Amino acid sequence: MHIPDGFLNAPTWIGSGIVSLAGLGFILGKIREKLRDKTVALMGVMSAFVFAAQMINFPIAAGTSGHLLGGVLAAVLLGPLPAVIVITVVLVVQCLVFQDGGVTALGANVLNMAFVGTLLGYGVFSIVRRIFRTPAGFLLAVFLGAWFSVVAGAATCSVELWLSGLVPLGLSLGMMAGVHALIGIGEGIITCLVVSFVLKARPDLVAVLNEETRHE
Amino acid sequence: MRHAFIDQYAECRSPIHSLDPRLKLLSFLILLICVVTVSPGEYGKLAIYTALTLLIVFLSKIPVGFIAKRTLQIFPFILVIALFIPFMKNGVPGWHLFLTVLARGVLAVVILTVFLNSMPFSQCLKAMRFYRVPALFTSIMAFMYRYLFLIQDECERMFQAKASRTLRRNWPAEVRTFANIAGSLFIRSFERSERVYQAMCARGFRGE
Repeated sequence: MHIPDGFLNAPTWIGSGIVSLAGLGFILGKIREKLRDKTVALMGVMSAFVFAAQMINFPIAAGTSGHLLGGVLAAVLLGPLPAVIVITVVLVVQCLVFQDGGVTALGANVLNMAFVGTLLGYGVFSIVRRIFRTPAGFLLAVFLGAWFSVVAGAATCSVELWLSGLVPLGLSLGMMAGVHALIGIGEGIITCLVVSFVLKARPDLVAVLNEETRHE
Repeated sequence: MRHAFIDQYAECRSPIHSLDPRLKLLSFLILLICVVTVSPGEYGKLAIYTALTLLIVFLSKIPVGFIAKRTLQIFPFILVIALFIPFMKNGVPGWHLFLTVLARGVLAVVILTVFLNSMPFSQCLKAMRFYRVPALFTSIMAFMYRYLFLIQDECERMFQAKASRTLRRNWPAEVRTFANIAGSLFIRSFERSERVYQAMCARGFRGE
């Protein structure tokens, strides 16, 4: 899903770049208020974690394998705003170190995966979480959130390609969303399994739970 | 363990490598933007940029095979675009559009590969600092880059430990083990970040 350079037209990549930059500036400010001088160490090391977790190839049926994207995983474990920063840093390093995704398309990729994917996925997670207030409901919320983050990210990607005049909107939206609805199931299952492990081993580290106990 | 795949060709000697990183960043960015803004059908411009790119590749002495491997990464995307070309009904003839996007995509990824592999990542960050990219962001990037190796190692060690203890098992158990490794990796990384922060404070870190 990393859009390379040269695919988007100038209005699309400049526009999405400005939106992403403004969003990042706002979120970095918010995080710095909360984490203060811990920001650099925590965000840096956790970005490295998400990067390493993405390299793990999970065996899927019939010899194929898939890997984690980690947007909603990071949002549940670290909180939604830190997750946006972590995913952004991962995208920037993938672009600069491995040339996976373009430099001019970076704004669009950050918009798709860090903002739309992570934040909307987290939104779905917190809505479902509010409806079902049981441990099983928590995992269902994680699954649906992770599934939705993948589909939403892919849908935004096809909208950007459509804005660049490369694909027809209806057909590409249908195809991208359809394919990613399947990929999303894998993301949902893996995210659930990882979150349930952390819930068992170190529930105190799960940011979402910490927020809730603070409000009560 | 083995991490030669990162910054593999950063220490080569070539005219491109010895260029000042700040100048290199600026000039490559300009070239990149020129390439990605070529309009469909402007084959003259594309020919000039192709010649320029080939010259840069030749000068940089980075193995062509390596660059080709990185270039192949964009082909899934090209395939998607090619699939939709027959369905497009706008002013530009489909083949002009497709060829231009193909050329733009390939040129851009080649330029990017040469540029970013002609210096260590830290140099690139330093050049970004020079152009007033916020220190908070570049420091997070520098941290991420530094701990990437360590956490990758930790992950590999856990997989080695798993491999040495388990034979082939059924699929659900296998996936669960993988997820548990990812979960442990999260806990270990989080704890590491706390230790790193404490160590920084102990050495007089007061933010930035």
